[in-house]
Amino acid sequence: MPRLMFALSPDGLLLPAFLGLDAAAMQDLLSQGMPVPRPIQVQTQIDTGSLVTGVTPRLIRAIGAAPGGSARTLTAGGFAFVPFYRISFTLFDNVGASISRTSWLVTNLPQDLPDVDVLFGMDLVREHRLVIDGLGAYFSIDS
Amino acid sequence: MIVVHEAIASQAMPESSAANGIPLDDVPDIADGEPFAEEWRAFKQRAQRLVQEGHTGRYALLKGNQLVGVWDSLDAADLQGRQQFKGEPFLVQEIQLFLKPMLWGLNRPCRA
Repeated sequence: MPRLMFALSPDGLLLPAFLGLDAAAMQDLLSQGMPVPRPIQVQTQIDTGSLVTGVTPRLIRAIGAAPGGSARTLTAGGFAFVPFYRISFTLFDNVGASISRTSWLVTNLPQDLPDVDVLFGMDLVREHRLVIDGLGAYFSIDS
Repeated sequence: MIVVHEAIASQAMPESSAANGIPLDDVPDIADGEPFAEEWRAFKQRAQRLVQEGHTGRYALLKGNQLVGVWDSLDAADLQGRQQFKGEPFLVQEIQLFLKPMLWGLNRPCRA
């Protein structure tokens, strides 16, 4: 069982990742003879204030993800239909441990963020063991 | 003492307030011809019955005025919709009698 360890940043639970299209979308492109975009390395953050993983609009565009279902919800800007996308990701630390998912449901954040491109929410936390050691200035995540 | 606290809390806070939700009856309809107008109307019409049937917290998949089905998770409902509707828009709505807010990064607004 991989355990990824990271330094606890003053800005929170930051961790690097590769993001790309989900496996089904990649398969579709391959079957049509189309090129598959390479996964993009991004900075991500675990944010327990997020219910569902959110991805910035610029990253959604960059990987070319297409929306699937939408849900009506209440946002800071009022009622809205929020689209869902599917991505793949690999989280990795600096000693080579990694956690990957080939299909992960996300929504797009209302706007681009200056410092991170993905806010992993409680949907990720519920499926892993997340340990935060404030005194030790590190956090770890197990698959 | 804990039992007393729970009893007081349950009386003080209706279900929609507990989830910071808006009762469905207070959520405005979508004008005809706008995206998801049919799906939203179909969901509102069926929500009460779906709750009574024990589907609260599950996810309804709707296309046009049709309820396609109910799934245990958002992920499963979305996956079914993608396979069935191949790039066409569809609605995947959590079955509740109130509309929950979508929360992202509670620390974000303060930094902007």
